[in-house]
Amino acid sequence: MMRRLPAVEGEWIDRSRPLQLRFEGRTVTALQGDTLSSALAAAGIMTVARSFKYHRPRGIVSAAGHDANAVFQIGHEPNQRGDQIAAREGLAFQAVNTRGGVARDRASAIGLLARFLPVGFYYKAFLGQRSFPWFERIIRNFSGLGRVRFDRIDPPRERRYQHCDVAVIGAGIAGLAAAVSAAEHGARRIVLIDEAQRPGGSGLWHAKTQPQDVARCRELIDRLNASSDVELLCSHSVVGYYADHELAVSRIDREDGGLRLLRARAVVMATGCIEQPAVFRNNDLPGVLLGSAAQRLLYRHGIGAGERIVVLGANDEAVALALDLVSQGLTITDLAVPEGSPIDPTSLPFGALRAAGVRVHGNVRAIAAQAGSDGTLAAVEWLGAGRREQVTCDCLLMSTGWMPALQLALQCGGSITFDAALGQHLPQTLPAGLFVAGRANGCFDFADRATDGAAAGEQAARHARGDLPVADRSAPPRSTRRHSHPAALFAHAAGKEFVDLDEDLTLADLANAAQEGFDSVELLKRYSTVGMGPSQGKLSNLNAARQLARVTGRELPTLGLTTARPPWQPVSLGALAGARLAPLRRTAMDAWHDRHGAVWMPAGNWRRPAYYVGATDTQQQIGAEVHAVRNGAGLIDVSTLGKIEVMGRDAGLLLDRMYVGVVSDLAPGRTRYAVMLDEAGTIIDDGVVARLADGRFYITTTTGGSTAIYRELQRRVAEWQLDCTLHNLTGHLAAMNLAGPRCREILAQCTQLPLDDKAFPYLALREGHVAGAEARIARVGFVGELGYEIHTPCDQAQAVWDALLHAGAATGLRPFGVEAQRILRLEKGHIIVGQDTDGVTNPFEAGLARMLRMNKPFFTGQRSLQALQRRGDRQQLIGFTIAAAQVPLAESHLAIDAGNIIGRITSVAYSATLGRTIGLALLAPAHAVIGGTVQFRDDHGAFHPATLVAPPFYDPAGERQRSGAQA
Amino acid sequence: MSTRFGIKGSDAPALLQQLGLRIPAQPNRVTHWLPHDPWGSGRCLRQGSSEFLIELDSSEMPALPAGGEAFPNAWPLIRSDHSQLLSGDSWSRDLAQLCSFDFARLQDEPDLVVMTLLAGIGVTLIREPAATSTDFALRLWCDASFSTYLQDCLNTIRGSR
Repeated sequence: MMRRLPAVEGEWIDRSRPLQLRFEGRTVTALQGDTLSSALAAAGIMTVARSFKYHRPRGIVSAAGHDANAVFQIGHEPNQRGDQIAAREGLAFQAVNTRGGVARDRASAIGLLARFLPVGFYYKAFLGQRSFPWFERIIRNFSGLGRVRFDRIDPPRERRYQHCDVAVIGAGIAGLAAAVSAAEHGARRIVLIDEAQRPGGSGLWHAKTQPQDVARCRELIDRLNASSDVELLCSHSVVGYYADHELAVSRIDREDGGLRLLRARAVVMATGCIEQPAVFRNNDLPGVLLGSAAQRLLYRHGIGAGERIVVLGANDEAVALALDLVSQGLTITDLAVPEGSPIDPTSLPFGALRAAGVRVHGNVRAIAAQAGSDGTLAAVEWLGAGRREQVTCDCLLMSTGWMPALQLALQCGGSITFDAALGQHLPQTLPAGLFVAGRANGCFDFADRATDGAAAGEQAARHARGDLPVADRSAPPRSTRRHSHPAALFAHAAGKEFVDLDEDLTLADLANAAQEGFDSVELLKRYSTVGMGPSQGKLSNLNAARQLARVTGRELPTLGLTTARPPWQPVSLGALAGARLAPLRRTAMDAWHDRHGAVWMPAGNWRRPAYYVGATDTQQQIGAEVHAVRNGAGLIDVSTLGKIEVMGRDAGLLLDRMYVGVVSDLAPGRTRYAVMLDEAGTIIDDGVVARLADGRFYITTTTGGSTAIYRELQRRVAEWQLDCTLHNLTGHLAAMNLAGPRCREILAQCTQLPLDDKAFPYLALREGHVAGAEARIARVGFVGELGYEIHTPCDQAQAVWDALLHAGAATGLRPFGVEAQRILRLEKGHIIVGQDTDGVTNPFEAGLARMLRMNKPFFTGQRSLQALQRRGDRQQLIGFTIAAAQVPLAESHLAIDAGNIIGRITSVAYSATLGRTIGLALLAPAHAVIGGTVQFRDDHGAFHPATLVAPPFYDPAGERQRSGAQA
Repeated sequence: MSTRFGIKGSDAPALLQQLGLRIPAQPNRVTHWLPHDPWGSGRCLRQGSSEFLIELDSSEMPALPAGGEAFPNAWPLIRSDHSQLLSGDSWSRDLAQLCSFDFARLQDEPDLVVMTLLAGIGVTLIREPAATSTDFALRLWCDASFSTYLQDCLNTIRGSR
């Protein structure tokens, strides 16, 4: 059983500061500096989790977050890494994926079905099965890790940008040396990142057996702390490496940790190696863990990994591990060296072990762990020296090999190669400015790691300050010996040799997948899901590839590697979301609208008043706003319209090419309605074009299209090399539309401009002053009444709005919102691009053919229209009326004929002015016949007959807007 | 109260220089005008090669000559940008929550005009001339329709410290 030992020199815990945690209802006493995993270990809790598929008992494996065993639910936060989350007073947590808790998980019965759940089970069992949806519900209910709360919104997580000269990933020996060296060579902003709570990595282990190395490591840490140029980010993980040395850095010691986006001029990856588990029968029992995990528990948290420890060792590190633990008073009974290991059990270091009372066994095979009555490790057995041996133990440490942590280098475009002599992958090509050092670079000895790190730090500093090209550093002092067993896979007749602890995949599963034809690493991954669990293959991908090589008879280097993608470590969606920024635009009159009861609706990234709350209900209020415009006057804020000024000799030419009609012949002071298409002939925008003067035009766009149209105009100016320039006035000018038969007399009180039809005719534009503010006034309107659209600088707009309302108080002027505007424009049959048109609607179909000037030399979409004209319409926009007032029809309700869909409603509303329901619909041309009848189906399946008519529904001659004639 | 307007077009630099105004020689740089400059104190931001944002510290709009035949491609522009001064040396650190720009660059290049995204919206930023070597203040402009949104974002990050 694991237990807390007497104080260990350099430990990270504070024994004077006890903490009380709650694990599945049980009080766990921890110390400041513990992680959740170490707290459980110190409390002797060996089984901390249940496996994903078979719900097998699982314990601590890496103590570094490299495995997905110690994953917990903390409050509403699922899947938190117990190896990394810091213990704090009162924290309550529980295992994920259990039914009834980790100790008595009722779902563990599923393990009895393991033989019926082969690799590729879902494909084999459910492909083509109509019953799958039924099973899917059960499976989904049963599977998955953790619980997500959909009923709460957490506070935003912090996300910040940061810049540095040199980023060093990994604060082990190589990383420390790199950071110190970079500072010594002139880098001023250095960020050193490590997943652990403190720097040092494995450099602080072996305190009694290699004290000179530990002293050197401490010296580096002291120099680091003394440097004002280095920022140390402990308990942070680099989860993604993107172009131009941008690193996504996640805080990992809290469940609500945020994210930094760190942009570096140069990067040193001193990410070390990840110790790989051996694969043997029952290698997943609690009590079976990596050798490096035992040292982490010992030197960081003062915890002994077991009372009777057996080491399964295949490399120099295994011998050093055993000697180290013995020197700290732990009991190592046996060291078993598997056959094929790159070390000789008869060599000198083993003598020291034997002298310490450790029995050494060479060439062992058929290894199997055995569970006790509590489901944790009780013994280990193997076949060696011609006989089967069994050793009673409560801890089995695996120290059989390593995988360099190079995935981040692959994410940013680097490549790696397999070094046969060293028996591991090494960097092959790296992007400029990225340097790999230490064990990840094949340097294993302590001094070599420091030397390699220092060299990489110097190179990074030179690169950061622009010394290009940076000369290759001398050949790194790589190890000349193997540090990994070529394939620590020990098949057993009884099976249960787990390759992937996340997914409960065994050697047999992978062999079966390969034999079924999934014999490349990518196919094997997708079919078996190996490496697709929460730990992203850190402990399984290499062993899976070795098993594939073994089964297919190929060499490991020929198999390649699966693609490395971010995130390298799990990161919460909350951290990615950050502050949840949602830019919202407000018009200059926004506060006035708010004070006067505006009910808001989104319009692009603006908010607009839908209507104003009054004494009556919503529909009556909207109706009253409509009535005011039709019978007196109304005022609407239309500041959200796009507004662009086009200036220069070719301004008219540009607009002629952009719009379907001709605008270059406009006289100064005149406006024209204009429609814009894309290359396919689809309507993308409409608005008004005004000529202010020679070489100076002013155009409006739809609210949603303003940014895109401005960009498109800019692009076209550059592409066509025109002599004109653009200015986007959308945010600089406010706009309001004063409309209604009495609006002229209201406006006359606020301006000196003559407003009679002769001086200021329909579709004219005048520049002058309104209420003392500079203004552009256009006699245009969307609502079919006499109207003036007044554009004025934002900072003067509220005064203009107030003045107009004051002037119109006696005539019943009232503000109106978008809902009333939509009814008013529908009565006039004016379309809204994007509502009455869709992603394929062309001008012929929308009834806008009269706008086209097909004889122009060119306009965008012209050639497509010529083809579309030959092809004929696919749909036709047409008006309809329904006599009834209360019709439950809405936009997108379908028109049905003989059971077939023949179209859909694009706009529909009840018109109090006309006393009937009116609308627009896109119908199949054969059915779009004036005077015909179509049936629209509502949400409840009821049909409503409608008569097809030609819009406009109101004032078809347009007298009211042209002359302001009274109804 | 300040006055703000723009001048844009290929003839804009020549027009301003003819008026005796000091303008930035390079794009994306700012020249700070002093009281004895022709239009008084203020700032002239060169946003690209042929666009200028001019902000004067007085409320008096100077008489802008029409480009005419001499400068046919110099167009005066309405600019109703929201303008804000951020004083205090911690702003560059706080703004890192909202903006990917490396504000340390403004220490080395104090006349830099930065056009970047802040809290997801386009802003123009300059460093204010320092009264002392340790002063660090930023002046920013954004589309006026985003002013409330931007203020909310700035208040949030200030409040989260």
